[in-house]
Amino acid sequence: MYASVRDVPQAGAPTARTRTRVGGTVLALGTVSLLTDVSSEMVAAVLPVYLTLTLGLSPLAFGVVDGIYQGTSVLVRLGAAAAADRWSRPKTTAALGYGLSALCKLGLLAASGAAALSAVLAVDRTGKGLRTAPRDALIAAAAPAGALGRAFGVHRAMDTTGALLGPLLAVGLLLYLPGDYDSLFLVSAVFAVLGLAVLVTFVPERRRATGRPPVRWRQVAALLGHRPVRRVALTGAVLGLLTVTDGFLYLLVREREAVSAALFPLLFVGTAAVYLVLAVPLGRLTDRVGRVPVIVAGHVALLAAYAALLLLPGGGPLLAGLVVATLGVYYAATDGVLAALAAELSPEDVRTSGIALVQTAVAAGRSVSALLFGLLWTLTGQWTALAGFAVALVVVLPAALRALRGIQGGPRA
Amino acid sequence: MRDRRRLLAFVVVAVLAVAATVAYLMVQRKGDEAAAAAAAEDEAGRPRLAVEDVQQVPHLVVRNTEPGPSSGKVALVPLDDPSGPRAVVDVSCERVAAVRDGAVCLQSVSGVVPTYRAVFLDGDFAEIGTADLPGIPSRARMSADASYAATTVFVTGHAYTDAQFSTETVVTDLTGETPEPLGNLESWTTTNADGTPVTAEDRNFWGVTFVGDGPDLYATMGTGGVRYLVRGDAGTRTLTVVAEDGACPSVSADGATIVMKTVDPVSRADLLVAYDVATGERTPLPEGRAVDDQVTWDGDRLLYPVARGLADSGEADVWAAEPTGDSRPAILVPDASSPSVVRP
Repeated sequence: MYASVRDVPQAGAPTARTRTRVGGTVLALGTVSLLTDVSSEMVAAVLPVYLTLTLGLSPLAFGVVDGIYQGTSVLVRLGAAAAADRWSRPKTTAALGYGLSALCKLGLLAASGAAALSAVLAVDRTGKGLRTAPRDALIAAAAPAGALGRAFGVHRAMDTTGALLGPLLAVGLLLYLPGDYDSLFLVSAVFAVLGLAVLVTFVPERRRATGRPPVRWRQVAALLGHRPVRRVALTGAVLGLLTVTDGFLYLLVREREAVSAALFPLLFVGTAAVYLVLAVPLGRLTDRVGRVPVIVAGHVALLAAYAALLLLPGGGPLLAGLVVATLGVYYAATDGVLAALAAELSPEDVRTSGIALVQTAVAAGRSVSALLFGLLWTLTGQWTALAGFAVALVVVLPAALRALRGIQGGPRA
Repeated sequence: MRDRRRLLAFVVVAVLAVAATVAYLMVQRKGDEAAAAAAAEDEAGRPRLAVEDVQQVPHLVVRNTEPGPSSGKVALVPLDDPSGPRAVVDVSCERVAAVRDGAVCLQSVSGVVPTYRAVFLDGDFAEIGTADLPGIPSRARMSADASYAATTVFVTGHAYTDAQFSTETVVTDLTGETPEPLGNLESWTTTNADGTPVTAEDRNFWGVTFVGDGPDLYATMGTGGVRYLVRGDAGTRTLTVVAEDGACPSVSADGATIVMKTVDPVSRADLLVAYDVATGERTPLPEGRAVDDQVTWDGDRLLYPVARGLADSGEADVWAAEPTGDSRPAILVPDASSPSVVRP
């Protein structure tokens, strides 16, 4: 499907038709994500209050199990992706993931103890692990030639729209039915089921052409030896390692007294809004100039966020705005773009596994980064820790650019 | 053609699902309205006392949880008739703590983004200051002479499956013109009993109880999955580990006994114990239910809220028990939580 790994700009000016269309399947997958994110984010918006003020549970109990299922989620993600490739069933795997999450929304209606709720959240996380890579593989398969970046941009923009709508819907619902969390979980489940229904109805399973031999496990395993995929995964892991978790960055914004506690949650909303606006334009840009320069530019934006926190004199809205904007740029320039890059580098037969591998490597890097940053925060203070990450990123970024450049021009297996 | 049929089938199913959900929500709303009207009627029929009258006698300050328009507001209940009529103050709180000359109330402010704040009140429940809170109210306490207030909130992550919570506990000095925060307890100096500093990154503090007028206090420090009882001084902003396995402390007026939560070795559930400060001896209390608060001392007995009915009904009663192993807890104030004892 991908004649070349190079991001060849489309020949000639794109016609009006190619400029606006990304294909029905991509829009359907975007709709699935939008509905599913409305579902999960409307629950996310109220869950802490529900747990503490209504159920009277000590949420500290939840932290304990968290570490355990973070580990299992990684195994589930890689295993599911390999199975999806082995039996050429990315849609079935994704549907299983979306289905599990829909069930969990109904599970919230029944669960009232700490253990039951932990189990429901763990299953929900498993569902997310199952669905992400197969869904991205489906997007990659459905994207029109030369418009992969745009297709991922459209998908991520729709996804983020759902994430922004969810909390608004939750607030509206609780104004209409004060304190009625069961109704809220029910509405959330209805959205999740609708998302699943769109997937089942409108997204075709990507069957293998008849006559081609079935994919073997060995081919999946061979992906670890596939140089371009391996290099992107390793580079992604290293860059992930130098990415200070956004939660930490927002805390530093508060530490600089750039925003009041009341407005603090708006930082997340602001970043999501910037991501939403930039996802499509930056995705399209990658179709013209290549994925790598945009990914690197995204990390430069991240560096700008570090620099603003470290160097900008005084706090205030300017600092908060800068951090929110640069983080939005960072996400728009990396999240969908990395998935697109992984999709086009991976051999078509094992594309789901390739995407899962890269996404897992980045996630692993970020997990270690969070531990490392926390440790440095304690040992050296938060500003020294941030400065350390900034310097390391300045040093590593040119090396990452070189490592990825080689891939971009590399031979296609 | 096949695509069109599929689209049609999907639209029909989706419209039916949405219509059924909307209809269900409207029925729920009707039921809520009827229940609210009935509760308002009930409330209108309840005798109420005057706030000034109750303030003259020994009384309890609680969060009122009677159904009706004044649910969630501060209420005053005379100690000699705790299940009788109460006085209601027009201040809504998720948690409240009161002494004779002041009170602290943790409120939630609804909006597109729900926000939280602490309101500091004088002896007549008039506002003397506020402070933004970064999360969901959990604990509130005040020193006996109203010179210090302590607030604990849950600082929450924003992702649904992100099960990480931490607490932020702030002590505020109320002796000056305006309330002056003395900082998050994590910024204070904490040392182990042997004098070595505690620097664990995951340490969390919650549940302050003041010894008399302060600045001495006790609190909980959680780190590495263990909850320690710590003793502190708001004047020097220092904390020292006193004992392992002690959460949500409440110290008696004479400072000799602390009632706190420990982990039951068999069930792993929280168990209330009376801890003798001098000897370190622990006496288990008969209360086996979950108490989502610190207990309150009323002379020689203990008061605490226990949730009632369905888990998410938000209803609670205030119970009383002796700090010994053989007493039987009994309901003291129905439809109330967050108790404080105030003697004029």
